[in-house]
Amino acid sequence: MRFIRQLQSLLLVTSKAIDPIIKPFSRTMVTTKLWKDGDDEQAKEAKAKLRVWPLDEYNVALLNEVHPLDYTNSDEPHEVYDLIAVGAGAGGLVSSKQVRVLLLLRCRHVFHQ
Amino acid sequence: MISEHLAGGDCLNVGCVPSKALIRAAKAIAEVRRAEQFGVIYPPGDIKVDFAKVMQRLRKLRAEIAPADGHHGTRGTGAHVFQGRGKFTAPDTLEVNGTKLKFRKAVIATGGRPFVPDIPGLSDAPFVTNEILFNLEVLPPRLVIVGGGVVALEMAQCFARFGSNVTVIERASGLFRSKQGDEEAANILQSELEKDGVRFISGLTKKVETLRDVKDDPEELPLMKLTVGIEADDVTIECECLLVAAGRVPNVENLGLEEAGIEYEVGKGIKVGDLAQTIGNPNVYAVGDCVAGVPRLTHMSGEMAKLVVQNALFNDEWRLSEFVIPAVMYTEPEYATVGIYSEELAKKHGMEVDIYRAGLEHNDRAILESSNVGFCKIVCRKGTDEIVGSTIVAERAGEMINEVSLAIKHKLGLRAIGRNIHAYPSTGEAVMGCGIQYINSHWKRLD
Repeated sequence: MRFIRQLQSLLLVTSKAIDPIIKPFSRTMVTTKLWKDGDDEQAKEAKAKLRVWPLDEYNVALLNEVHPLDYTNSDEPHEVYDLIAVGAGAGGLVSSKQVRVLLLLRCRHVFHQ
Repeated sequence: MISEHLAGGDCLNVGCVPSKALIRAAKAIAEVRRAEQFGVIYPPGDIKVDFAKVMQRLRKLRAEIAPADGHHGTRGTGAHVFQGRGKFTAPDTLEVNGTKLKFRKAVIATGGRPFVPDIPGLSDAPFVTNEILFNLEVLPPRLVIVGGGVVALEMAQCFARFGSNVTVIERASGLFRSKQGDEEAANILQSELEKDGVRFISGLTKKVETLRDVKDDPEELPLMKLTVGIEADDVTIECECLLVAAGRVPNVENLGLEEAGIEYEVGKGIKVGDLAQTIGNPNVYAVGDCVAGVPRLTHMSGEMAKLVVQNALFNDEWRLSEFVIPAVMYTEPEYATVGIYSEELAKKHGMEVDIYRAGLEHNDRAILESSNVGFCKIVCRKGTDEIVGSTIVAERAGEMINEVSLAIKHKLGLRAIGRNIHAYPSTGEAVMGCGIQYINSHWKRLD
């Protein structure tokens, strides 16, 4: 997780020049329902399908981040992806986010040449 | 990125993050119990553990960390996130939720899952693994753990400190034997956990019977009975919680790897070369617990991912064989290793070594902390100061091992460590102590 935080710090430092280009790709979450504390049906679903319980305020916050309830990807898929990561653990997350860091650094290098 | 289960993987949800939250709580409890030596006096019987609060803290802190791994943050970087199971349908195509995605490069990071041994009755029993353990709401009066590795020992110490009666059943005749671990380290760790109340049994679990199944009410705990073979005898042990922590297997099934031409072995993992490319499809890479023959560690997975992006997209040739990977068990004391960490492991690799040892019994900082059980051992190629590995048992072994990793990675000899000034008083002086031993052993004679 510290890798992700380090990458995010680097993103904040280097993104100012590049954000106007990247921002169109950054959208709000596409989910119409949220996990809710105190919802018995949701609690059963979280336990049966995701093996997470109890569905208290903290696990609600967790699931709304890591497995949103009716999440769909609204972005039009690219014709060809430069990289697809299968899996969203440490390996998948670092792969996905590292690409943007390196892209930003390469662009910065080009601008400063 | 394709995310099937919980983003953040094992580490955030059911591994590093929740376990270290529990370990910190357990450490606080242990400190309170021995606080009298520091002048803190509690009336007898006044120290209580609120397990529900311990677990609530775990959930709170995990939720605080979650945004770093959540879909929102990932999408904010410009990546597309698909939630579902990704499967290869061709060497350059993945399918998720009926949508086909073509790629130039892909990386498989599907992780692993707990290995569940084939013990009669176990599959029908309400056992837990690390995937469920951190959901507990009530402290089990009796916890039995099958396995003797990192997960088993970290949780054994935690739950013993919380107040459970804990038994660890392991097949080997001693801790760390199967990985040629340092024997002195194994003896110290076992002794320290026994002081916390953990009972160790060397035996084979032959059968598990379910006496009471799990109920919807979390206050009503199940009940199981294990039959364990110890030499020629069988003993039975009952418990309200059975934790199976007997290793991990890679998630490689039902991914369409055959369609992508990727070589793998069920139970072992995906085969990769030194550049992390899969054998059979050079445009697909693999990282972390799903890969054959790599340490199952979060920092291994993260570093492999950095290597893959560098190699896959920027034509670099960063090699897995260049990695120097420390590993830490976060018990108290901690147990940290790197490289060829013991004489036994050196023998297995056909290497002759010298071992330099500095005990914490004479380390001033460790004495003043009342935590001077442990040592630092540095393993060098015989007759040289070339460091090939290390084992450290100490309160902060996980911090100390990084100095040795750095030395190995950048080929700093043990002489250089001995000549590097270490702050006094620090436990890290034990690392320097090994270096000083090397220097002293190579002094020219005066006569």
